[in-house]
Amino acid sequence: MKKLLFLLALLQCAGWATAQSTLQVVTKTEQKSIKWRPGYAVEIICEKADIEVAAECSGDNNVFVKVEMVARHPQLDSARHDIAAWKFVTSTVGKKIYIRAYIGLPAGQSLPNSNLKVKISIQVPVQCPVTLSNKFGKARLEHLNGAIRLKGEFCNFTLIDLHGGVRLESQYGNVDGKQLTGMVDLQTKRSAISLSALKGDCSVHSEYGAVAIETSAQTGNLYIQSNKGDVTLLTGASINHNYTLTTNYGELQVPATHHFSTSSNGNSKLATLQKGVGSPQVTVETTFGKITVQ
Amino acid sequence: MNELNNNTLQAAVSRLPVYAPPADIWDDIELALDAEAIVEKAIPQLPTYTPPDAIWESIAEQLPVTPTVARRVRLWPRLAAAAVLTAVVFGTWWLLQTNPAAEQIVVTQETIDVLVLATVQENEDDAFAWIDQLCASRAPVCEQPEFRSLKSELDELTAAKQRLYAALGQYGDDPELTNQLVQIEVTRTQLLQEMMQLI
Repeated sequence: MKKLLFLLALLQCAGWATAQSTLQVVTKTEQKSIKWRPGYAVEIICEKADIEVAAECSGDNNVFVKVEMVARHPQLDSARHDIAAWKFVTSTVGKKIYIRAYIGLPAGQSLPNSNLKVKISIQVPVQCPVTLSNKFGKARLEHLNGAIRLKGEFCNFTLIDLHGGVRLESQYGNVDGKQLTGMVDLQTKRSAISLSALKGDCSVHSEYGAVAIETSAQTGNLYIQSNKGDVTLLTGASINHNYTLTTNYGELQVPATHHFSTSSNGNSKLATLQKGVGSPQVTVETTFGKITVQ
Repeated sequence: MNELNNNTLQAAVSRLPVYAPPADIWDDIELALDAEAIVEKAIPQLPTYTPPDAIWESIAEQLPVTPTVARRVRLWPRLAAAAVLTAVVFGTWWLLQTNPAAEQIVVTQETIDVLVLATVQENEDDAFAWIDQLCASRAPVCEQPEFRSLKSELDELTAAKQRLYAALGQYGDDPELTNQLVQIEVTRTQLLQEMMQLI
């Protein structure tokens, strides 16, 4: 009898251990299609979201949204209960199409115990302007011609092939951009920035984050102000821009092959290079940050 | 119910003129009834004749074309029902194609990553609390500009860590956000070391 009880206890412990190492994942999927007209803009407001925004290929002027809301908990009943906390709402007000995914609770109801995430895939007409804000997640936007406005906290941004200009504010979220045309304006804090194949003007204000930008002949004027963060410029074989590089309490490293003019004044260091009148200008200013040109 | 002015009514009725029918009227009525009975008895004994087909064809040609109208009237309910059914089927298909908002709920399972989980559940180092206690006791070092700058940055990072910690939940299912938590903790530790050197 004792052996049987011991065996039962062992089995119960094993079951308990298995339950503790396994998460029950409840996923609720919804899809919506919203009519779009020229002049309309899409505004996405989310939290805990992994968002993808891309151009829709059919050309039938619709905004298509697919949402996967997820609740994870060791107990299936809890995950099933907490999935109801996710609210997914779309609405058209004036010329704005709002897409919202948020955790909504009735007054007095306690916070869900489950871990909640949402994955949102949005297809918009290629010329549609997009405004997006997100916390605790990531956002990927690609192949769009409309103006892009982004705001994030703990949200990593991936931006590819955008041609309508980008204005971004980010805290604790890295920014990775490629093939960006039009004015790019980034204001970041504690975010690493990596940009390549820029085809327009670019302005970066960064604090506590590394900035790496690859310039090319198509890159326009570039202005970078960095506080407590290093700046690296990747110029390739040829330099096409005029350069003014200034660092306070930081290091300055430029390639000897391009004959930069350097000087220093106390804790300030300056490097300049003039390729010719009319060439686009690169201006970098750092405080407690190293500037490197490669 | 009592009749009002009953006496007046009875007096008026009694004053109405009285007429008697002629004596031969009953004989006429009897003759008419007998004639109907005679006709009814005679009808079955009449001979029957089948008309030639040409007669019916001739009649049919002279009639207005009403059978088509009658059929159309009878078909209306069927046509209406078919139209409604078609509309319902097409509408359902169109809704599914253009706005398939039907919810779908799926249950799966994931194995908890113990490394990520351990990182999320890591306790705060006591040294951070000690710094707070130090400044709460108004230690002179906390008034130094450099120390205050570091403390301000540390407080900002601590607040960010708490927001991130709340968003992460308790099951360690988001390695990317956990990685950001680690980066914040590394920076906080560097700040702590710099502050310790000033004490």
